[in-house]
Amino acid sequence: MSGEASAHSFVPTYPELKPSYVEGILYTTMNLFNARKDVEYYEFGVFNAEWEKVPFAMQNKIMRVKHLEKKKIDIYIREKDKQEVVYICSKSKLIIAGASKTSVSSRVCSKVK
Amino acid sequence: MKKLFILLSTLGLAASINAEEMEVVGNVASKCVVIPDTAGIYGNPTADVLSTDPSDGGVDPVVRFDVIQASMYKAKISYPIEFSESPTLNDIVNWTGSVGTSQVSDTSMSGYDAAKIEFDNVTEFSLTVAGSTWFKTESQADYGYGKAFPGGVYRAVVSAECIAI
Amino acid sequence: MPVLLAYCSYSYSSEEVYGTTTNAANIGLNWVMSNILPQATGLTVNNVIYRYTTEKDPEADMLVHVQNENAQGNGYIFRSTDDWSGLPGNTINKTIPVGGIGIDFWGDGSIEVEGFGTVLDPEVYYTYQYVPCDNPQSNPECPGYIDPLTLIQEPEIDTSSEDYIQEELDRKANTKAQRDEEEKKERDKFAKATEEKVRESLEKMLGLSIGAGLQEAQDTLLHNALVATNYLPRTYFEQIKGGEYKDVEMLKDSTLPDNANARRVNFAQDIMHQKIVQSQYD
Repeated sequence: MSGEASAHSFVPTYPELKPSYVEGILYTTMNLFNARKDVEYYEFGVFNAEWEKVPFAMQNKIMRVKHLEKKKIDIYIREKDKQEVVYICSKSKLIIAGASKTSVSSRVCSKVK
Repeated sequence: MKKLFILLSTLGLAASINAEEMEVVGNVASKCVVIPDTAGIYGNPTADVLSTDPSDGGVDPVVRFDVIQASMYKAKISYPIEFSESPTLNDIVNWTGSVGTSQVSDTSMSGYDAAKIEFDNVTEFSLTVAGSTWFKTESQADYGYGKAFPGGVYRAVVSAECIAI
Repeated sequence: MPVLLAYCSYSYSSEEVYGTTTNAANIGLNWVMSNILPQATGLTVNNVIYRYTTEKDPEADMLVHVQNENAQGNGYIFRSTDDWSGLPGNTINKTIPVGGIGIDFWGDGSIEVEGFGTVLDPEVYYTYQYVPCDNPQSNPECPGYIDPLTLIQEPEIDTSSEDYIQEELDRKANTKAQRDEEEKKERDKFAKATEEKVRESLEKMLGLSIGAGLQEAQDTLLHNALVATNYLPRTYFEQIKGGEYKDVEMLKDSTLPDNANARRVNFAQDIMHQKIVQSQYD
């Protein structure tokens, strides 16, 4: 029943890969909302069904998202990897020096269908 | 009279042409929000043990998962198996722990504990009911073979993942 | 438990005040709402937040109702039921929007258990809002507040008006008539009582009263006893010679002159009376 806003959300739940302006490259746009006061950086990753990394491109794989900031993130994937891509995830990056007590690392993953 | 009838008919026609049906479209998107609720604290009941158990002087960390639609996500919570910050340790640390629901927003969520899947330090819950669920993570670190933990600050990280299914 | 929406403005203005009550269930599973919600005019309840833990056999049936009676009628204004049947006990935490129901509708609250199980550590909170000066009379600091004392001051009366004078004269006349009537009643009552006494005495003297014969026999016995004991003095038995005493002189009637001094006094009294009467209108 705590009223403190301290949340991490990453949508859409089921993103779709669409053709980008570059031939042979697909992309999808994700939205990240950071309501965690203790977190300012998020790391992004693309994985297959076995949770193995799939190559992808974006502006910065670790991005600064300030407290209560919403950010749109474009993730680019090669068309040949399309069948392999299953999960697109964002993970909070904790700063050790700033962390207090036992921290919670949050990761939210969307599924490409 | 005939003219008046024609006029009225025309107006009626015009009215029926101008009347447009308005459609209201709603779309509820599924969404998962992970919210750290309570920060955990390690208690030090004996020299060789660090524990989040309240009876050992600790505080169990609690993380809340909010899902808007049922059966769209699973929660994957891991208790720590290493310190993120500690003094230099010369011996091994044995980790034990467990994850369970501590509060629910719907009575049906009470069944999550019975249906949870545990492997290694990871516990998976299928979030089959829309609403909020609070998960509590207990963890304990035993140092060496009855060895005292060296003095210093100890921190560990609980991992809470919300994965679309 | 941190308080939700615990924003309160203490400046008495038209700004809305938002707040959360204390735990209504801190002393038991029943509570009186007038002790929980601030008694502010126009207050509305927006959410009911509750939390409790159940202890039960997972197989057992158990229903838990968190509810408030409808103070304006029958039934409940709020009722949330949690069905724990076939489920293990746990802690439930719910926030239920109720859409701004006015304070007048919120009757007493309770947590009711149906079936088998126990409710532990109950917590029930209400979030509310109101405009502090919705009723300006609710606080002297509100704009538009009117001191009630000023409202009960006697209206100013024009004592020189004819209506007032007539009213006063009527009132006095009525008072005098009433007093005269009361005095007359008192006199009649006294006369009646005296007449009754006299009649009773005469009846007794004439031996007409009931039991007069018996009284006479008792008196004779008492008399004889007193004589026998020589208690009565001898003079008691002596006869006193009586007779008639006639008026020896009568005053002869003649013309009596008016007393001039008395007339002067009468005039003086009249003048004084008129002055006193006049002074009431000055």
